[in-house]
Formats: sequence, structure tokens, C-alpha cells
Amino acid sequence: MTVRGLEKLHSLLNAEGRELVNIKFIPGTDRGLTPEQLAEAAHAALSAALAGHLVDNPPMSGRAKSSI
Amino acid sequence: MKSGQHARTFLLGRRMSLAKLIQQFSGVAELPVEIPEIRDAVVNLGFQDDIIFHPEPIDPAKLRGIFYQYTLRDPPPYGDQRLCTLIVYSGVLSVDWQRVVCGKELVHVMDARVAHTRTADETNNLLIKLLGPFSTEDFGLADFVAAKDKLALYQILPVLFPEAARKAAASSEKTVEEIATWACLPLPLTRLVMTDDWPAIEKEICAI
Repeated sequence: MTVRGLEKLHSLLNAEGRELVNIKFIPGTDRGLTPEQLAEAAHAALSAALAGHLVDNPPMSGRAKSSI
Repeated sequence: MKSGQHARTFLLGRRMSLAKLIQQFSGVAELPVEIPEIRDAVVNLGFQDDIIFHPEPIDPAKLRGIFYQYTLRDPPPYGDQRLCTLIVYSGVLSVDWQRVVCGKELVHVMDARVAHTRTADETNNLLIKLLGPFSTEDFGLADFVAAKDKLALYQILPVLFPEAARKAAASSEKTVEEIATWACLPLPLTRLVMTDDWPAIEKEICAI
């Protein structure tokens, strides 16, 4: 991997008073995906999330609980 | 206590927490289990201050989710340090996959320290290992951490589809497609949970 993609990601992870404790990923489904592309995608996603006001929005099924 | 003994005790504690989480949900027969319910249970186990789920329009061919745990110091005068987790997931995915991604990332709140990815080198190695061949001669901590990362997806399944619900589904006449819709889980994972082998698989993966 080129140093740039990872450096950008790691800088972001330790910026603005944040200090990285642990990071994990679920890579995409593209079989040709490279570590560099994954690092770039992670950087873009985290940058976008941290740039705005973080809103807690967990995925919800939208359905009432039921027995089978 | 010697440091080795301390590490073993610490690891055992983390393993027991996953087992506790699974045990807590094992009697649930009404589905779907929602992600905030699991988050509340993890927080109640005493692991975390804040856990935020944030969707972004990420191309799921490139990335489906990230678990980012960090410390943040509050501004003076108090300056307390908080442990925060930000889970960013692809809002482009179907809801059933969003739930699996977020559930899988919640398992990492309980990661033992040895499984943490903290430095630039560790992050780099994890990215390489996650996308590399399963067969490897390059054994070491990075390989273990990547294996643990992949395993977490399976470790959350007994929580999203608890034992009591599985038994009820198995004794019903519903098709696996109907069961997947009921559980709000992807069909391939529902098929796995509904196999006769699943109870043994569950026992194995949750002992790691």
C-alpha cells in the first residue's frame, strides 16, 4: 500500500483531541479491492461523518416484534 | 499477580462478556432483535461511554462498515477522558445487512486489548490481512486480529437470532425465506443459522 492512503486515515483517527483505541472494518464486496482503496474509502466515510454533527441513527427493522 | 496471569484473566473476562451477551438474549423468541437493544446490553455490561451509529452513502463494493473506538478529552476545566465508539455503516446496504454490519461492529466493543488495532502499522497490516488470502505463511498478531475481525460477524448471529427464536423457527412450517424476513436478516446468514450444525458452530465461535 502507498503510505499516503494510510497516513491520511491514521492522521484523521488521531486528530482534534481523539486518540485511536481500536479500529476494525468490514471490507466491501468488490473482489479486486486493494488495501489502498479500502483505506481511502474508510478515510472518506469517517471524514464525512466527523465533518458534520454526528447523529445517532442505528438501522431499524421498522417492524413490530412478533413470534413466528 | 504476574502479568501473564493478569492477561489471561483479562481475556477470560472479555470472552465471558460475549457469552453473557448471548445468554442475555438466548430466551428471546420474538424478532427482530433491534440494534439499540444490543447496544444497551453491551453498555450495561460496563464497556463503553458512548456508542454512535452513523450511516453514510458509502459504496458497499468498497466498504460496508467501520468500527472506530477512541478516547476524547473533554475541554477544561474538567478535562475528563471519555471512551467513545463511532460505527459508520453504508446506508446504501439493505436494512438486513445494515443490521448485521452494525451488530458485528458492536462485538468489537468487547475486544480484548491484544485484538486492538491502534497504530498505523497495525491498521496497515489489518487492511492487508483482511483482503489477503486466507492461507498464509505470515503468521503473527496481525493474522490473529484479522481472523478475529472476520469472526465477529458470526459471533453476533446468536444475538440477532437467539436460541429460543431459532427453535421456534425450526419447529414451524415456515420457509427459510419467510424466516429471514421475520428475523430481518440476510438469507445466506439465516440459512446458516437454520442448519443442524449451527448450535455446535455457535458453541465453538463464542469460545474464541
